[in-house]
Amino acid sequence: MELLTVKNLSFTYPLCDVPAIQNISFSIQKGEFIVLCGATGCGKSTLLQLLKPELIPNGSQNGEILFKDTPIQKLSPEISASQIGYVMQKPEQQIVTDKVWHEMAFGLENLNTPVSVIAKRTAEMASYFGVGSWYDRSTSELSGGQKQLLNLSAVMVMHPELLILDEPTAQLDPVSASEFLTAVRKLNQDGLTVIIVEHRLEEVIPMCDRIMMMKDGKMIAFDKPEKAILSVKNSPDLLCAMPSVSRLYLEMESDGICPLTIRQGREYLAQYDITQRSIPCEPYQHSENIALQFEEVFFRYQRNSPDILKGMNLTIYENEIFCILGENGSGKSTALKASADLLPIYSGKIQVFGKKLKSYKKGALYQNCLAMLPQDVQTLFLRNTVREELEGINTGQLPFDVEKLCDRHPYDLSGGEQQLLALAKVLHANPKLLLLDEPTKGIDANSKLQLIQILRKLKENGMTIIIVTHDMELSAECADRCGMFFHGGIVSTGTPKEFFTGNYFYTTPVSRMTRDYFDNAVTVGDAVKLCKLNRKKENIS
Amino acid sequence: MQTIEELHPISITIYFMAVMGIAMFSTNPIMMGLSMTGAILYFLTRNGKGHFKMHLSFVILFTVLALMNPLVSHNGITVLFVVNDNPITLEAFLYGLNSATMIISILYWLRLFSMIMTSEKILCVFGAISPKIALVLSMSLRFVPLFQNQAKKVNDSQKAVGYFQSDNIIDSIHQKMRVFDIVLTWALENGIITANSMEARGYSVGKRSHFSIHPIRKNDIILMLITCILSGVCISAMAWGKMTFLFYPEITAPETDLFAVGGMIGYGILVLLPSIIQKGTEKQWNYLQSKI
Repeated sequence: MELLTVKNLSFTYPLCDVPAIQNISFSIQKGEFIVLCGATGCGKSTLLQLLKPELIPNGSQNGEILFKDTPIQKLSPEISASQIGYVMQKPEQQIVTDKVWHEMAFGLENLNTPVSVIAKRTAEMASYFGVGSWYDRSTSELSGGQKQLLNLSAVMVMHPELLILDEPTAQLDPVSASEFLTAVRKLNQDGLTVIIVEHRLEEVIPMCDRIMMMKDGKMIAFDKPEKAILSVKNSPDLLCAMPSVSRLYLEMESDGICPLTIRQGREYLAQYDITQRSIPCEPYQHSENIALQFEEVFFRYQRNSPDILKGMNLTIYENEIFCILGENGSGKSTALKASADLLPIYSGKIQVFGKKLKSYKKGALYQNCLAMLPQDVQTLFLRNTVREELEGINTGQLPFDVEKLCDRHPYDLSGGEQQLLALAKVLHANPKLLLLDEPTKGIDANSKLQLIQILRKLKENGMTIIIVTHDMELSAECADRCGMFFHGGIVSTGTPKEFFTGNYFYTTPVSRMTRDYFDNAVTVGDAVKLCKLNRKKENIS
Repeated sequence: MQTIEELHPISITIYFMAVMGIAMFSTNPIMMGLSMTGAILYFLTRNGKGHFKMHLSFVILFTVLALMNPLVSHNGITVLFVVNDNPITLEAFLYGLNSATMIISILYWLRLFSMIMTSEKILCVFGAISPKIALVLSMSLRFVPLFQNQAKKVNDSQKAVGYFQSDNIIDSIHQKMRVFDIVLTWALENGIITANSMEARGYSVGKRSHFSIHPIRKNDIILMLITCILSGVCISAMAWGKMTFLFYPEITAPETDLFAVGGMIGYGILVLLPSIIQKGTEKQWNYLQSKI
């Protein structure tokens, strides 16, 4: 049965010449799991909004959208509110009320549902999503992952038939993102139809039935994932977002069935006759001068709370890129804030370029010495246009272009563009030591590639960079050394090749896939090189 | 058995309104004494030791209030002594003492009320009156910490890139303004998302219902009935003028008859009720735990 049919849909925003959506037609069967992907600004969010009557943006629309054979404009408000569920990107801002139970009841209250029914439905959904244990809590106390699960369950209490998700995991760490997607998958297997826009395709593509690829407002492919991915071989801006396994395959082959999961990738590698197992690489040489040093550092937030940093030791040398990885809430960001002198440590010593933090007189630390890019880059912006924001900054010297954004409001930029603007502001202080807190959060695959390029250029110019991140691909691509943060300190360090090939789960997808075949492949580039060095077995029929 | 604070917010509110209302409209010293005794006993049984500063400030306030009246008001016929040609009278002194008792006892009741009624319980009471007001309150309660948190984050971010280091007061005020300005923009920006999220879940479709996780139980009904009956007796005694107590020009108490005594006993039971229930529940708990 067709749940949703879109016929010749076009949409143009007011004051725009180019339509945001151009002549799109498709239909979705009941129970399908659809992934919608495309580069930033290709119109995928607009398309999702057009499917939800309450959120249709201003502009002129042509074509038809049918939900269960009724044009969606003609759905009654109750039906459209309850039958089409919509979860957005930002976990925090979607929450309306101050208590978890009230948030869950909100949608049903709006439809004037009897209290006994509300009690039953919220109880059911709270148990399904494991919300029960924090049912009484304040919404502001929840973690990002919990907030997003709450948003999902607050939509699910209304028993929707179609669930639309607009980048729901963009602001989450990988573990919470994975939990969220698992919950969505479970819902889909219980019969719910899902349309999802995602940057984190690595995990979601193996779950889906069909992928819709969009480019400049047009639909360029809508097919089963193993086929649809083949069609983006020649569009690098789409390709870079695909799972690593598929990217490796597309580098090597041009047709056939594209592998999507680690297991399928291993089956593909089994076709090779492996003679060359590792890429020769030179041992890493660090500089003699120390940029940042932690000696037996202890920190806790409150007098009676547990230690977050427990005798942490760490030495980072000049002109290296160091990535600190580790689980959520383990204290990585705390360590970073402590080194920027934003948190007072109670014991131990932190030295920046050989001088104790305290011996930097007021403000001297932040002049030509150290700067930090916060996790939420929006907190750096104070003005109403990018131009005012960049006042006094010599944009010509930056290793990237921000001039083209000048007339817009900083809050209207995409995640990747905001990151660039924030970086421009941070670099203005001319730091020798740059601290980055989760720089890839909420940005798309293209912006991530661009960020990697910028970081490499900054390093060439002599900067020392410390990155706290969950993003293993980022660390594998650009770090000189990685450190694992656990139990209040750094437990192991090494070059990305040593670091990731030694881990079993906490590693890049490429390393997981190639473990039994190659010795030190951690990035797609490494794996491609090694595949090219080896030959395929001949007798494959 | 449940203590008073574990009951439904509406029955708690009714109870406190009755106790405080009667104390406020009565001038009878016995009633004041009862109200004070009940409030302090309940405060001590509920909170135990501690809160030393609060008690101390109440004692000081009590003394000031009690001594103020005879200095300002010179009514009354029994002159105790004269200061600067102003007579200090016994009646004015006693009146001061009486009203100080009233004010301090009300302050104790209010303190208890605010300790017991968390934001969520207040919301529940408003929800029963109007779901719309309840929603607005709930949203504002959520918004305040969000706003503060964002302002703190903006300050930290600016500091770590070398802004906001000036010692100059004018500069720092300027910076504070800028942060306030941008956090306001941020709030409005996010307000749009929140509005969309509300809209998407059917807000403004029609009449709203109000869900609450506090069910009304048997004990709530019992407390409401007890409150109504006891305060009813008390209020009618007051209405019949059985408790009128005049301080000026000389102290005149009406004849105490059965009705007045009934009212006083009723009020006495009412104010002592929370302490008794509190102690009773503790005993019951100890007994139940001893069986585990």
